[in-house]
Amino acid sequence: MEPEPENVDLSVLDPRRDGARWDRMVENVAARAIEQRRLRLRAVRRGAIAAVMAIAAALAVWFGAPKRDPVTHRSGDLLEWAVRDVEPSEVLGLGGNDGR
Amino acid sequence: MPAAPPVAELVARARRGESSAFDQLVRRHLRAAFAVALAVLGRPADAEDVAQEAFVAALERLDDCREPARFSGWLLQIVRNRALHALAKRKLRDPSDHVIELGREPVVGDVVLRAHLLVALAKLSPVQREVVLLHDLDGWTHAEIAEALELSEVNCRQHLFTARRALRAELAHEEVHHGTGT
Repeated sequence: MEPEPENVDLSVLDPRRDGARWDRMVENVAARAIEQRRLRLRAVRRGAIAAVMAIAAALAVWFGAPKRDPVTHRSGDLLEWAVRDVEPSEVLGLGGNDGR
Repeated sequence: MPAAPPVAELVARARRGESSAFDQLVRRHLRAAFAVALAVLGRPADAEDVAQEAFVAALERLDDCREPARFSGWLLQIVRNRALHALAKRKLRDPSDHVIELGREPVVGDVVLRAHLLVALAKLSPVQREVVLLHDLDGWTHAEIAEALELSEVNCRQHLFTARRALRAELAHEEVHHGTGT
């Protein structure tokens, strides 16, 4: 293989040629990165706290809600009618006057 | 002088919030970020902007870097993606999108050399531009470039060889046709 050609002088493209400007650029990037990261971590922390509080509130509502009685809240008369032998006239009586 | 800490250690310290680690990471990698952005965008001013923005974005989500020892490759991928995005936006704004136009303004000295170099670089393939800029501008070794760009070292050497030869030919051609401008 042919020998590798020598380096091409690309120094005119080097942003570090202006040392003071380069230092400012480095400091600026580092400072912005630190600040953005701080804000991001804070947002994540707040999001986590909000999520924990929302879960706690949901659990409190769930366990604090009054327990429902199964079926017995329905009309006792109807239930009775369903399980016993009831005369049709008695059923009509269930609806009061409108039943007729 | 104490040896520079390995990049994985700097990443770990930066994750813990040490500001000096951020500073060292930026100082060590910003020029490489600029080189990759320049390889995509072809304009130094645009490349500086994109390199800085991409670096800030990368450091902000440093926890996403799963292999701290390969921070360079991870960072350069973010820079490349951002530069490609910026290039697409630039082409939408200006479909003619020349990297630089010689002969429009009187240019002298370094400025003309810089313009010739940018024109010559624009004629290389994207990977050749990245390899030659990382090697000859930022002083990366073949091993470092190969790891960051996911190439073999042989491949990297070939790209550098071709890129340098093409650059020299192009620069010689520009000198004959445009002079040095001094």
